[in-house]
Amino acid sequence: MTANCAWQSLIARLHQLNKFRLHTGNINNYMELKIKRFKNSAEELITCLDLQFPLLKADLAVSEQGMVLLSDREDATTYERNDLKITLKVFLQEFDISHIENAIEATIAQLETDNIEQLIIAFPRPENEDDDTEVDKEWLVQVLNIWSELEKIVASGKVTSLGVADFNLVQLRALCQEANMKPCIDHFNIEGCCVVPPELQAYAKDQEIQLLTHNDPHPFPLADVFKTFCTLNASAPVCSRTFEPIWAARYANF
Amino acid sequence: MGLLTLGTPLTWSETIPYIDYIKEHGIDQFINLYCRYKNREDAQLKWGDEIEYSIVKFDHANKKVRVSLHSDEILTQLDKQISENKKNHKENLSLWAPEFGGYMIEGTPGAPYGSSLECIDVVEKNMIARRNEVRKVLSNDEALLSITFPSIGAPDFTSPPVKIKAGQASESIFFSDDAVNYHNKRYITLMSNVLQRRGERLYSNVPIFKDKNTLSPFKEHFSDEESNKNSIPDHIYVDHMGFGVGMCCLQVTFQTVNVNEARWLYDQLTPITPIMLALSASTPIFRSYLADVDSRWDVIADLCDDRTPDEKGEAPLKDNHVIINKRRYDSTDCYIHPSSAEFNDIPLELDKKSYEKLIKNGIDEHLARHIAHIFIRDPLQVYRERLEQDVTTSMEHFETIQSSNWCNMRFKPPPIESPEIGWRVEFRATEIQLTDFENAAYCCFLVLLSRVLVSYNLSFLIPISQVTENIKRAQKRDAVHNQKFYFRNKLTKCLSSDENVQQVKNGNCHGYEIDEMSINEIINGDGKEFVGLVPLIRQFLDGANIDVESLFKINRYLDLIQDRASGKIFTLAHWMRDFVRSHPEYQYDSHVGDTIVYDMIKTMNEITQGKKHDESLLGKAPPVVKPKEVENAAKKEQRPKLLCYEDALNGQKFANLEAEFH
Repeated sequence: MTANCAWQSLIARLHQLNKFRLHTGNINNYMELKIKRFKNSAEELITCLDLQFPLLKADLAVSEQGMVLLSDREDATTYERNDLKITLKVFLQEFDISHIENAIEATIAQLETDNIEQLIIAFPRPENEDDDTEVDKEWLVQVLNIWSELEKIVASGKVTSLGVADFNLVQLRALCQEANMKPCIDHFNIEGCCVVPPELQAYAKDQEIQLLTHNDPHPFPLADVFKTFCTLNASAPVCSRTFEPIWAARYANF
Repeated sequence: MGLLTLGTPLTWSETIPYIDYIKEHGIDQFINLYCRYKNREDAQLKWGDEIEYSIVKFDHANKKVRVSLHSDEILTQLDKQISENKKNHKENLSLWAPEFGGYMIEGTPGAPYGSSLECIDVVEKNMIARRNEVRKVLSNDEALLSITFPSIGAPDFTSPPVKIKAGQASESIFFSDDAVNYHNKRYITLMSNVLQRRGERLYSNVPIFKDKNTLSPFKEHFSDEESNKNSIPDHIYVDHMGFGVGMCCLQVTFQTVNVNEARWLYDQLTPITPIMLALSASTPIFRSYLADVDSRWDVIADLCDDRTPDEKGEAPLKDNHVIINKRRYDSTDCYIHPSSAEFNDIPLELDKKSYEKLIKNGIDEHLARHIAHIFIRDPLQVYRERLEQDVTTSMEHFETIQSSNWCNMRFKPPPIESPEIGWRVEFRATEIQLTDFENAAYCCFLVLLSRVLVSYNLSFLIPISQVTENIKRAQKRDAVHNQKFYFRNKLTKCLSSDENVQQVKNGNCHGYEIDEMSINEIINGDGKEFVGLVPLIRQFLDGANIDVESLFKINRYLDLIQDRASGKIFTLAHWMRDFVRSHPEYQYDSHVGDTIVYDMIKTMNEITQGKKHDESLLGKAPPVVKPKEVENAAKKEQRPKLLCYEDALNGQKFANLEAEFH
């Protein structure tokens, strides 16, 4: 019952906004999420949302910047900024630099800092994604456009290093050759396969690009995850057409 | 072993008049140290491992293998290299120390490893390089093995042979005192003082593994009456400290950021010690007989037991003694962080004077109880030249008592003479593994588990009496499969002490219960609410952004632990017992003859060197690359650039390995 009221009230308030942002809070505070090992981070996020929605209170706040904090669990510990390395990964549905800028601003504000160490971008996939031998030229142009904006952000000091996700050898090489600033990281999904393609590994070592691992699905199933938000409360199926998910981001402090 | 100092050690009777003096000054030293460093903060978690090795000598012609009493000479040579390096401002890959047995040496990394997950990559390389350093100074028929030698105390077990002299201090009928390390007199003195204080021989009776043809009851008949009296039927009788501390083990020390985290981590790792003990079991043979236990723990404990009969409750109390329930080598009796107090359910024997002085000087009661409990033990190693110490600059009186309390965990304050070293905890229960791959795997599992504990603020605390019980169970034959252990059946966050009180009062209604779980359930999950320690670690790593090479390595380590826990592959103890029982010369009478020992040690040496691979012990072989292929493949770019097991060991690649490492 309470969930229903909270839900209605929240939807009503959100309708009045142009856009809004859902923030899970620190999911490490939820021991219930540690019960099993998730296939990937999307599954983990869905389970987290499933966990959080029934607990929403009627007076759930929407901040001035349109941020809705879903977590009801406080973080007891504070850390010295110098001890932390912040990594932000943004999953893009479309090539739009403003989404990235919003994600950066939101993260910086949330963590009350003024910069983040690593920014990793999961770009929308090219048409020829299964082709290992050639880069999709149109896709590359779009990537490079975003990339030059990202280089400006690095120059401004907000972000220290840039990375890409799930780029194969030809894509990585193309980016390195065309861009001013090479990526420092290629985020690599190691699920299912144990061995990294040796040519990719050799090239990365040569170019001093770190191959770091992740278990995010690629592409990030944004629509599916968001469906959770919309279908959780059967009696208020108001949002399936109203809200369109634009980007998702995950950050970690280490 | 801790205290490594030169000088004239006092005998037991010479020590007695100074006992109170030493305890008083030891407490003063601790108080001084605590006050000085209680606010100390160190930048990051650091850690290091300690591996104990046995040096063996093969007599191939006669199919016999013995321990080689050459550790002194070998250490001298290794120390020369260490000094050379220091002179040339070269970093030392490893540091070496003597151990009780004249055939043992102990190796540690030259500098502690860092806490970043990438450092995990370095651990195995360091261990392999350590072994290679020693191999350079061994003779052709000698080998370095990280094992407990199964024929310690059996006839003719040393090279060169040493006689058992009549009237030797230990009075052992199996083990000559000349087989003890003579690096300095400390080891023999330690043993003599234990014997003198105790007032009778040291011995232990290890349950024998009853096989088809084993005599029933199994009873050996000795020419000396006391041995006959002390030995019991169906047990393997051992009677020298060397049977205990002449066994090898694996220890891991963590340096934490401050004293609070050290106390917290000390507590949190305590319930893990019996789990690791069962999982790492590697000691199934004593004095060439198959035992019904898989671990060294209780045997060493018996052989370091300095309690007098009245302290054990076997005679009326005298000399101001009190009953002491445990041996000084034993599992711990209390947690030390304030939030763990509710789980301290063992009555502690305390040295009253020490306790009162600690409290008076501002040490909180939880830590004071722990220190005062350690101080019920008398000092066994005191040096005439340094009886008088400046309590503000020396820690020796504190250390002599602290380092002769040998437990599953040790809480270590910063040493006064090394300002770069902080508050540390030492995990001491793990049994030694045969290969560097396994030793690295067990260390890394522990390090990763500690990271997860700290990051998620988890608690696995159970009443400490249950940890004591778990340690007993962990030693039984194939405990990893057959025993169940008290453990929390759900992941829970660490609570404050008030919350813990409430918890215990309400019968644990905060969401967990303490179940008796198998090692497989604890490590791999119980299929219900407990995810399992390995899946928990993997989950943690999913979001940790580690590079692919490190993750590949870590995954192999976690696979090993997972498979040992599930029984897919064997512990070394199980493997050794199987080897013996399937050897053509084995008579099914529990006795492991010389030829069997020779064949087994030879095989173990080949496995250590990567010349043989046994899937039943290690799991599937890693990709193995021969040197020639490496040269060609570099051009073809076929070979994955991962450090393969075999090429690190091959002399040809050694130069490259060094360059990479530095």
